[in-house]
Amino acid sequence: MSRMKVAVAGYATMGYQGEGHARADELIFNVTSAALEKSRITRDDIDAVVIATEDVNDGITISNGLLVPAAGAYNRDSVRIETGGVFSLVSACASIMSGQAKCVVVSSADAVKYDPVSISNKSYDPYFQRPLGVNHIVSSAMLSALYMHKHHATENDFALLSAMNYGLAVKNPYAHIKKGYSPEEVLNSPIVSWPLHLYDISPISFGASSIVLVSEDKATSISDNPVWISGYGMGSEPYFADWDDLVKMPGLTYAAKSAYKMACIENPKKEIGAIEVCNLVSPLELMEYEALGFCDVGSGIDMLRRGKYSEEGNLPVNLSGGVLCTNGLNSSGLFRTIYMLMYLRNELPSLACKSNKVLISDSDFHLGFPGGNQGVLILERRT
Amino acid sequence: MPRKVAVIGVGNTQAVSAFSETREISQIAFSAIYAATKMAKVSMHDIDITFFCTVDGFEGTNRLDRTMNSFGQSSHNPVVMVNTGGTGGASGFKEAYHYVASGFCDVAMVYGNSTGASVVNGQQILNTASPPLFEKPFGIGALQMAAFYATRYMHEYGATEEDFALAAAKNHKAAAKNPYAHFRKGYSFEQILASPMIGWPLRRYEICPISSCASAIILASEERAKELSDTPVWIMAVGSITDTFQTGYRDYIGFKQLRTLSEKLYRATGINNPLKEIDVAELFNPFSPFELWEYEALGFCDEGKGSQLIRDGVTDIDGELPVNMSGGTLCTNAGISASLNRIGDVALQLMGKFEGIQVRSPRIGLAHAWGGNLGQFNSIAILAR
Repeated sequence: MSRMKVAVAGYATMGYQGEGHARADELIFNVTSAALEKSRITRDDIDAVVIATEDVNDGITISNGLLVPAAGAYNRDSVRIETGGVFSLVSACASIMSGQAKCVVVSSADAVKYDPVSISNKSYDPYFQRPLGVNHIVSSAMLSALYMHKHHATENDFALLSAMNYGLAVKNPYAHIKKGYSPEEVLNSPIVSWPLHLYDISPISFGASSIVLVSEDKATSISDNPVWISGYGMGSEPYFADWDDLVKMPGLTYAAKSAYKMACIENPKKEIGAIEVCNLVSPLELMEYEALGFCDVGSGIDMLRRGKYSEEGNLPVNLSGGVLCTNGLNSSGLFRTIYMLMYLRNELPSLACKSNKVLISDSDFHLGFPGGNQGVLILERRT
Repeated sequence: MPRKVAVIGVGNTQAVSAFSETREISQIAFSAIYAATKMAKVSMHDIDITFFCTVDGFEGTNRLDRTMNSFGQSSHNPVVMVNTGGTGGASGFKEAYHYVASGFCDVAMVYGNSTGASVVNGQQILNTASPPLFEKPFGIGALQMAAFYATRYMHEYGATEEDFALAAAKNHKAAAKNPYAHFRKGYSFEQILASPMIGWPLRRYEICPISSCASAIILASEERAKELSDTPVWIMAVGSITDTFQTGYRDYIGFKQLRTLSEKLYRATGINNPLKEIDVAELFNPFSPFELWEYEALGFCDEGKGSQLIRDGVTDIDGELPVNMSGGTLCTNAGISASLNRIGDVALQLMGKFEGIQVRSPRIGLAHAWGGNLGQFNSIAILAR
C-alpha cells in the first residue's frame, strides 16, 4: 500500500446543463452544503477552502472573493487555483499533507455565459498568434490533423470515439449531452474546423461540484472504507513549443509518472481499472491514452478499434461521457473526479465497479494547446 | 511531521511608473527570476514547480501564465496559477510552502507579476471585484477601501491627519534608500501634509503609486536549503484568513480578522510578545494609515494605540521593531508583486542582504499582505534566520 494520507470525506454535484440558472456563489453554496452533509462533518470542521475557477469564466475580477464564503471560508484559510480541478485538489492535498489543515473543501461552479472562442483567443500571446484568430477549437483541430497524419487515424476513428462517449453519457444522470449520438450522426454533423465535426467538440456546460478532503486521522473516524487520493502529479507545456512535441503531451506523461510513483503503481495498464481523460475534443483521448502509458505511441487507434477502451473493454475510459458530453470549464475536473468516486463506491446503478484504482486527468486545454497544464489524480479504495 | 522549508533566493526588479514602463512583461519576469535563481544558486532545471501569481483582469488578458515562457516551464516544471487578488503573491508563497513541506517537491519558485502596466484604468477593473448588486454600482475602488477605515479610525480613537502623514514620511524616507523602490523622493512630513487631498482624509503622498516591477522567491526543503544556501531563512508559519464578500457586515474599525490570524500564528510559533520578539516587519500599506491598524491587529500595540507607536518612532529604524524599511507598498505597488515583495524584503533583511536600510541582525521577521474586496483577505508569513 502506498502512503495514504488524504481521503475523500464527501462530494456532491448538481449535474450539468446547457444554461445557467443561478449565480455561481449560490451554486457553490448548494453543492458544498450537500458535500458536507454527505461527509458527516460540519462547517466548523473546515480548515481551508480551495476554489477552482478562472476570473474570465466567472465574468468578474478576483471572483474568489464572491465564491469562497459560499464554500464556508469565512474566518478560514482560502485560496483560488486557476489551473483546473485536479490542480485544486492537489493544492488541498498539499495543505493536508504539510500538516496545515485536516479538512479542506474544494468547490467550483460554472454559471456565467460567455464566448469561449474569444476567451480562448485572449489567452494567446498578443504579438504572434492572437492576431491570427487562433483559439481552442482551431488549435485542437491542428493537433488532431497532426495526429491523423502521424498515426493514420481517420475521421471515422474520431467519430467512433465520440459516439463511445455519447453512449456512456446517456447512463450518467449528471451529464449534460445525453443524446447518445451514433458514429454516423457524428460524421454527419457539420465540420467546424477540419477534421473536427460539431459532435467531436465539447459543449459549454453549467453546473457545480464540490469535494471534501480530510487527513488520515479524520478519515478513519468518519468512514470504515473511504476513497483515498493515493497519487497525483502535474506537468506543463511550454508556450512556444514544437507541435510534434505537443501531440506527445509530455506534460501529461510527466504528471502521470509522478502520480504513479506516489501511488506506488508500477504497471498502470494492469493496476488501474478505469480512467477519465480530458477530451475537450474526441481525438485528444487517443493522445492521452498514449501519454498516460496505457498504450505505445501511435497505437491508441488500434486499441480503440479493438474495443479496449469501451465500457466492456480492459480499460473503460470516460465512463461519465467525458468532457465531450459535460464541459464545465471551471469545474470539469471536480465533476469527473466525483463520477469516479461514485464508481469506486458503487453508487451508480447502471455501472458496477470492477476495480479499486482509477485515474483522472485534467487540463486547461479549453484555452488551447500551447502552454497548457496537465494534472493527474489517482483514487484508490481498499478492497 | 511537515518538512522544514526555507527561502533561499529573492529576486526584485527596479520599479518604475506603470505609465512609463518600456520593458516587455516577460523581460521583467526574467530579470526577477534570474536574480532569485542566482541568489539561490539553482538553475531553472532545479525548480520542481512554479507558482504564478496575478489577477487576470489587471493583465488585460487571460491566463498570462500560459504565454510567458520566463518560468522555464516544461513537463518537469509545472506552473500553477494562483489568483486571490492583492494577496496573490502571499497565497502563492503559502502554496509553495505547502508543496515543499508536504514532500511533493524540493525546490519551488513563486513569481509575483507586475500588474500595473497592462491596462489603462485598473480601478474600473477592480470595481468588478465588488459585490455586483449593492456595492459595485457605487463605483468603489481602492481609495474608498482605505478612506472608509481611515475616517472611522479617526472618529473612534482620535487619530489625526498628522499621524497618517507621519506614517507616510517614515515610508518615504526608507524608500529613498531602497534602489528597487518606485517613489524615492523621500517626502517629508511637511511635504506630505501639503500634498493635494485626494479623498479625505487621504492625501496624494499617503497613497501608493501604480508601479511596474516584479518579484520572485525560491523556496527549498531543509536538505536542499542547507546544500545550496549559506543564509537560509526558515519559514516558521504561513496562513491566510477570509472575510465576508459583502462589506455591509463590517464595522470598519481596524483589521479584526488580521488579529485573529496573527494570534493563531503566534500560538503556532510560540511568539508571546510580538513587539519584542519580532525584529523586522513588512506590512501591506498601500495607504499610509493601514500601518497603524496593522500594528494593532498584529499585537504590536493595543487597539487604538497605533498612532502612538508611530509618534514614538517605535517602528522606525532606531525603534524596537522597524517596519517597512523598504518603503512599503506605499512607495512601490506593482499589484500582485507587492504582496510577494513584503515576504521577499523580510527574507532579505533576515539574510542581511537588504539593499537599503538594513535592520541590525534581525532574527525573526513578519510579512503581511491584504487584498480582495475591502480587505477580504489577509495573509501572514513569519520567517526566521
